Amino acid sequence: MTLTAAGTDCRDVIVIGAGPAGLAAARVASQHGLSVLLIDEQAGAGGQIWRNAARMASTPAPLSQSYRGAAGALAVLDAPGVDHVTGATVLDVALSRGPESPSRGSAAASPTPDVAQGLSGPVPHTTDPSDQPQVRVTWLSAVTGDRGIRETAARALIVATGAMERPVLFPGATLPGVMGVGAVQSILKQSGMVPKGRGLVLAGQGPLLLLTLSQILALGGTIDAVLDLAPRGGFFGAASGLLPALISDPKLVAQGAHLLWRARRSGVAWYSNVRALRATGTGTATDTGTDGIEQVCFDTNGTSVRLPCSRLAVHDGVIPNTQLTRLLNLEHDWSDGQQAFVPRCTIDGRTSAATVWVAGDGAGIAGVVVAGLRGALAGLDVARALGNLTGPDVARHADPLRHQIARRAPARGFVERLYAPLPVTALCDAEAAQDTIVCRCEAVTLARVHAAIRDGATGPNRVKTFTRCGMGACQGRICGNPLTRIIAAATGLPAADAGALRVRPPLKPTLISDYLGIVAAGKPPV
Amino acid sequence: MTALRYDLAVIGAGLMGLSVASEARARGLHVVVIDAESTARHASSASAGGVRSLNRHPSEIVLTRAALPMWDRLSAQLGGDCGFRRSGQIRVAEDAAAMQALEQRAALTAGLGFDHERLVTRADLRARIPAMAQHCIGALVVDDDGFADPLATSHAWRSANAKAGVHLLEHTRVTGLTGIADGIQLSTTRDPVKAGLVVNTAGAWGDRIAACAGETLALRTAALQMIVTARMPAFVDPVVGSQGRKLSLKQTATGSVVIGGAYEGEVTGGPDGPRQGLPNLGLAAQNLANAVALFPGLRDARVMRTWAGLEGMTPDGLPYLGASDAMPGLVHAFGFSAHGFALAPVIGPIVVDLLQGRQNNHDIAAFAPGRFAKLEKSRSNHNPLKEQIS
Repeated sequence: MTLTAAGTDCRDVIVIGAGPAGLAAARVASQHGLSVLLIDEQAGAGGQIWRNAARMASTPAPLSQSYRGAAGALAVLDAPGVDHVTGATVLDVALSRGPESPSRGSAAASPTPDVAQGLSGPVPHTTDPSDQPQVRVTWLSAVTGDRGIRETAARALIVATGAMERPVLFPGATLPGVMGVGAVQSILKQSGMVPKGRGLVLAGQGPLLLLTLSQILALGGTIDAVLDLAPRGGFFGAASGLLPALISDPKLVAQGAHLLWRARRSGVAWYSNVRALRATGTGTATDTGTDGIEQVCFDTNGTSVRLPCSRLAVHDGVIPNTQLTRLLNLEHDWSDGQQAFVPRCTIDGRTSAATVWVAGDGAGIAGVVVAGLRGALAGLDVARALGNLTGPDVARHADPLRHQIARRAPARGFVERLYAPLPVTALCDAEAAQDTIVCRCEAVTLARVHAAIRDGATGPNRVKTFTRCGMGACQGRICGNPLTRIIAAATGLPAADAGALRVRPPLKPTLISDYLGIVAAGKPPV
Repeated sequence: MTALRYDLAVIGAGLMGLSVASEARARGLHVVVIDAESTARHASSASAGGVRSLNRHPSEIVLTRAALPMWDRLSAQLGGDCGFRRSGQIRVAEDAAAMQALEQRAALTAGLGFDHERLVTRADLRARIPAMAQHCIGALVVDDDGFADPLATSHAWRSANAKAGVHLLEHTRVTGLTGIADGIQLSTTRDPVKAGLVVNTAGAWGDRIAACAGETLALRTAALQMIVTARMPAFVDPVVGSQGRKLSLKQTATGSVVIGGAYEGEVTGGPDGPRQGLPNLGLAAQNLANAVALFPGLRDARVMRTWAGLEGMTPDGLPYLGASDAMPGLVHAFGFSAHGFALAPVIGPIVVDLLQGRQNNHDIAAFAPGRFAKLEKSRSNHNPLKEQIS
């Protein structure tokens, strides 16, 4: 570690996110002689998929299958040249644009102001291999006794911030007791707490829902019902991709088929072709008390059903977490398959900013194995860009990894089509729109968003100024993706033209007392 | 391409442009508003929303006092809530020197014949704002000042203008102005527009529009930083500033605290001029330290967002408000230098009076766009009463 004159910690590479991609990127970068700072928000490395990985030895068998590959990946934390900080929240990132001081994003003109745009596309990434730091990351250490805002400079940044659950809009979704299936998974992995007793209902579609269901049951938990939101005939629509998928990744397809078979034979009540989902209860969106969901109502194959329910776990797949890449004004493209913005990048993770790479699900959803491979590729390409690897060496290391990713692509495409995301308003007719919250923090309903669109708001940032949607504590993290899709659906604009909410620093709400620390320490004055 | 034809083209859909357009439309003109990006995209939405006559430059006092009753009526006039509230504005003194400066200021305004600014004692200050730090020894207040919600105001104005029949061309950049027989032709990044009259309310880009008319008006682009916290229980009613400290602080109806202080972030540039402002975390920290100095309870609040809006700053901090010296039919109204928000309602009628050659009661000689050219000729220094931004 070296310190610049300003007292800023300085490394070759900063990797943000210690999941499968970030760990692999850190491993490869350090193997090629680069010093790495690996920053992660969690108390331990592993990301969401390998949450609580350090304690996985004591993990019960039904969960441990999710941790395949984790032990090897985590070994990088002991590698020389790699520092790992936990409980660290990235607040802001500035990029150098040349001789002048670093700044966020780039300077190109933007024809559609609602879209975060940078340079015209992935650039060569032949960064000046000098020791000049190109990236400054401001982050908050929450370590007891050493709490404070830190700044670390680096020659390259690898963003591996993973995925988040795709928000599902329906009336009552903000009642206490309604959560994401991913949150249920996190609780299982973090504390080993298995939902017991009556009242848990799962609703949605996708592999994670099936996996969670099988894990809860295997651990002795109970589930009252599964509300299958997959459209009827979804399989037949995707069936043409089954054979290529089987050839490309037979294990993945077999695992999926096995999960589905187990779920359907588990004895849990299974309602298919579910529509008009609605959670009802005594709580409201702003309640934090114990009141909450009491019932879940829905239509299944034309019949209306009402079930008692104390916890409703919902899932419609995952999307890339792009808060950081959008803060950096990188170029993004809209993925129709994933119904989300994805940072524009090469397979090696090069983005529209010469000093920034992306890897893992944050660069497009592709699952844990591909995340690790893409992390490794990004690590290699950074080593090349910083002058530690030559072209032929890169090819020797990278070609097998690229081949493995390409081989898995048909299987991923099949899963993407099989569990195609629900249309954003699939569960909200005009009447339900009155009771469907898009922005939880500011309690903005779908009906109000539609009114703003009728009023001429053709982008998320306009809807935000009209309605306060996205101005609350989650900073648009949750409502941003649905907002783009709602506007696209209502106006007929391509989602790429509707654009995304602008991301403002700090990336997470931050205590004023933490800011005061940098004034007291006399840094960084500008 | 056939040029669209209007009585008036307003360049810049910020609050000033919206105000000019609505007044002109009310007087029967056929009006188009043209904006390179979208309505109120920059300074107008990054504004702190202060409606302040307190501590104004003497040349602006009459205008802001005239604007206040217009703000009272604005929500009803536009048919949408602008969130205007007469909360009062207060400028506190933290030591004897600051108190002395406020006393001098009070004497200056009284000498000019105004009675809106009042000095308050330590005890009075304590009674007004119990949450304020104990070391503050007094203040200058204007009880009938207030603040409004910038986003709600621009939204209401835009909607009202649309209803009234004002045309709006967003994402259309004006690239040239040419005098023609019956007015001015505007070249744009889309179809050209012809108008009898043109108003330049282009804010931070106002100098570029003036340059299209062959006029050089000194303007600096500033990225003025703002900070907003999570919602907190109500603890302060008036908008608070401090003599000798860069701070403007208010608590909105939702409970969040909006903190500014004219700290300047970075201006990023593109081929068409400044593009966006990026807030600086270190400066935000200094701004927050100033806020905590007056309100120690803020330490435990959370910052939700920081942002920086682009504003045009003139050399003396006073706007360019008046007819162009270079192009007949062109009127400038920009360079409000980070304290234009309060003036928005009064600018519309003044500008449209200018356009129509009507008598207006307000003296705007101090804002003449050509004033620096004339100053240069007479080799005088610029105005010693430079506006203090708060």
